[in-house]
Amino acid sequence: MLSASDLKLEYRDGAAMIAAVDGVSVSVREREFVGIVGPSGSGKSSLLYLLAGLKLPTSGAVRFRDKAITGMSADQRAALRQQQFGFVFQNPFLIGYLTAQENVLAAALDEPDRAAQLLGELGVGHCREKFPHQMSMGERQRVAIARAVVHRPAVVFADEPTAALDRSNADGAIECLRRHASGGALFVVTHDESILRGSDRILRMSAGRFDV
Amino acid sequence: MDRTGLTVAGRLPAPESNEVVMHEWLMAANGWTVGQEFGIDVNEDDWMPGRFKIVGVLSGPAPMGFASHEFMSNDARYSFAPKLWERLLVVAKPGREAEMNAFLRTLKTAKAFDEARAIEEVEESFENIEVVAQVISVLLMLVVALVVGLLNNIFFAQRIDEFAVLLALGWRRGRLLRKVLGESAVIATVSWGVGIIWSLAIMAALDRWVLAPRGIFIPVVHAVPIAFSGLLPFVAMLFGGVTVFRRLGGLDPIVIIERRG
Repeated sequence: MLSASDLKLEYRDGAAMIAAVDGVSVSVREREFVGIVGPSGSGKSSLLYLLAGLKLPTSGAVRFRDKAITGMSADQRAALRQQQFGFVFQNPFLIGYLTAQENVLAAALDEPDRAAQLLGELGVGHCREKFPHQMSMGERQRVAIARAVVHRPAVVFADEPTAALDRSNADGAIECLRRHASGGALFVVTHDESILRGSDRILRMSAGRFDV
Repeated sequence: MDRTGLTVAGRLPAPESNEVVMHEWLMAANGWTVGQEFGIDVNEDDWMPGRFKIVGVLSGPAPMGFASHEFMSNDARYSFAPKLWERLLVVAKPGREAEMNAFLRTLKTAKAFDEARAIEEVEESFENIEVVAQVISVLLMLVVALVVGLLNNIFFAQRIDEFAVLLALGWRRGRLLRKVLGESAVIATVSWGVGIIWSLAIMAALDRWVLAPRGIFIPVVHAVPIAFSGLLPFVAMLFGGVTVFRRLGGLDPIVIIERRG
């Protein structure tokens, strides 16, 4: 469903060229739960952004359902992200002047019932009319998860989704993600391998490459 | 007096005296009271020097004053002066004012000074001032637009997380720009409306308590300044839109997400 071949992402640091992602190839099936682990700076977040069309590679290609994301215009990639992909970041990035329900609807305006249902299932139904500053970090992250899956995406990308959470909240957030992204593939980038229990595959990265 | 629509409080000047009656607007503008004397005997810039005593106040539609004809004709100070103080008051029969004014304007030996002529002369004397005022208004508008542009930069910086995450979620830049422009339009229009209401309230208060008591009469509600101020929300939106468009064009959501991450 989603594949990448020989992906490279380089950036200039003074006179030197640094490879954040260095010739990575990967293929993901429908409904597969893939974990990407590695130390800080290993290139796992950069790989996630390349797979999601948030960044364009220096070379190589990303294909989603036989269409090359890397050949699409910025607007086409935005449309693809909006319709097919969901995102959870380390910081929930909720919009401060919107309630929890409205934040979820930012990803799918025409799904108010599903947004309310998801918030209930994620245990934050009582926060529907609350603003982000009125919620705990764990509650905010659950709202962000609801926002990532409200439009039934084909792939959910989660970048360190539990980094700001304590143990019990982290387990809860991953469980929520697994349950509600179950219709599509799930990518979770983390340096905490313990949250990837039950994943179909764990890919280990260092220095921009997968460890063999 | 009856036919002019003027009424007098006090009395008319006594013959051959320096007494005058003045219109209430002039009284207010100069801060005069009945019984007071004004003017000085020697003033080379004054075509009607001398001291005059106010004995009555005129009320009515025409701002004028009356002095004693005998006094003005016989006093030595006015012997060699052109009789600029001498006017013929012409009052139209009911319903024939326009016809009379039109006739008076055809006269070659006299200058008719009706309301329209008065407005014309005042407008002519203010013509250059109006040009200067318009230039100042345009400059002010540019300054306001610049300020709005700078405020939009601050506003953009404050909401950069929001824009970044919406771009990451798949909002197109055009949609984001429309959202921001829509918000700006609502804020600019509401602010303009509130500003107009406040301005009218302040003008009404100034008119009542400051200007009118001094004999200065300006219209509180005037279409031209209101229409002119209507450009402000558009200029503000234009500058705000251009600023946000430029900032959005260069925004990489991942840079923001990684920085805040």
